[in-house]
Amino acid sequence: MTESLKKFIKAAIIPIIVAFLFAFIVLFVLYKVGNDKLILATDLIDVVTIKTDSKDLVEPVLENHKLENYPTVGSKYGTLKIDSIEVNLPIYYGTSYNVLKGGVGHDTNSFFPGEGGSIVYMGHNFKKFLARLPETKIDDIIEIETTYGTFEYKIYDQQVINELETDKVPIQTDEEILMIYTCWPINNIGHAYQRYIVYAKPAY
Amino acid sequence: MKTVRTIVSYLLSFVIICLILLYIAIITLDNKGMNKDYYYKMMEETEYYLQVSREVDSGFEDYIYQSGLPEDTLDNLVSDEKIRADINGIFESLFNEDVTYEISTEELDKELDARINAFLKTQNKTLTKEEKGNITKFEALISSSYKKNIKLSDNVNVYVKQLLLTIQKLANKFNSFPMVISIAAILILLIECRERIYDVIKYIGVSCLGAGIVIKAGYAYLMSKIDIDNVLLFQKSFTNLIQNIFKDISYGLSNIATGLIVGGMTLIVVYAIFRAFLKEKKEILKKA
Repeated sequence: MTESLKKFIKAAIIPIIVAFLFAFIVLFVLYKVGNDKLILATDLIDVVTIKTDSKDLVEPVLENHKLENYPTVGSKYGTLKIDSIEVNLPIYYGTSYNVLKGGVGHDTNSFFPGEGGSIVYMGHNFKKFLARLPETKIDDIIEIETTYGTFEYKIYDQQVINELETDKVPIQTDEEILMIYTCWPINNIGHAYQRYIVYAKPAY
Repeated sequence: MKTVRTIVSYLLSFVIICLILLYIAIITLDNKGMNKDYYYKMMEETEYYLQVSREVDSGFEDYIYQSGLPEDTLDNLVSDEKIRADINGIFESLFNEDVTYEISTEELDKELDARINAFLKTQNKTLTKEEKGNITKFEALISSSYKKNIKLSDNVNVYVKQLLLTIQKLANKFNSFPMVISIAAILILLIECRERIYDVIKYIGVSCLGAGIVIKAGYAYLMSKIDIDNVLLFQKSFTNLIQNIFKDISYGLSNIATGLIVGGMTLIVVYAIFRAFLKEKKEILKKA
């Protein structure tokens, strides 16, 4: 019986080893021929992949003007307060429709309060959101409360700009500038070509 | 002579491995990758039309709040039938070289115009020239939002169309190629092993097992590189469709690979039993 088993194993093992060897050769050839294209494809896929890193769930921390642990897109990370016009709105990271339905949206291309660059917020011009933004005055204080600190800004300029004038909302790192805008005119019918924008710098 | 025959036979089983893989690729393309009906089935199963319809509405909503018009102005502006017809039209054009499809927004424009005029009437509002321009622009943006949600991307559509047509031509050219060569290779194997015909079982087993291992290993490698559940392509609806198609095809391939491995192992085991039994019989005969 043992002898038969030995013969059986001997007869079976070689074909199995050969099959694995052949598979390895085919895979090696495929790897050599197609790996560059696969790397290119996976790089492209990486670009459109939503990272579900557990780091996203960690609270943001500001260290040396650099925010660690960015909030996830769509999440609330602060509150915008402009006492002079009775604005008290949640700030969400991102500017999607759903975000803007709930409060002020933070342009993801811009920086966070405390990082020392342009901070761009936008909101709808309804009564409960930023309809009263044009009523603000120079030197009015804007307060941003975040989970990692509170920041105060003083308005130094207000403008009506065209929607395509992106140079009026520059993303830069030379100094911290808060820009908040809404559609203009407030009681517009149809597409709003203009934006009402306020510029503010740190109040300290 | 015996060694040469064994080497040739093993080489033939290597060729058969490649042909099995090629054949599976062609079958998968024929039944799934290049099969329009398969995509229609997947679109139904993943409720693609319904999801696109929701995204169309959501795309409209991006504009309604800044327009000063009532929120319900854009409700059910486009019917589900129209959305379905446009998606299918775009899809058909991808598979046919001579077909192009243009999304018509004439009905949508008319309906939107009527709704805006009805609202303005209730408000007794006379529009300024500037406001008229704003409304025209708003209507154009709504039309363009609809087209964007249905078409996704003109550039990608052109690329996909070219790719599909190239694969279609290649698949048509080589459709029966692997089958013919496989039969030829098995026939040569049979001739090579005419003295020990049960050896054919072994070589075919090696081919099946080898092909199965290649697919399983390739699948594992690909899965380690692509996190398909976390990919976002254009819209959520499209991503969902692509994810389901990817999973369906890879699940099918994985099943085929399992079948090949089990089949290959079975053939090798059968061969080994047969071989062990024959050797024992020969030894008994020798002793006798």
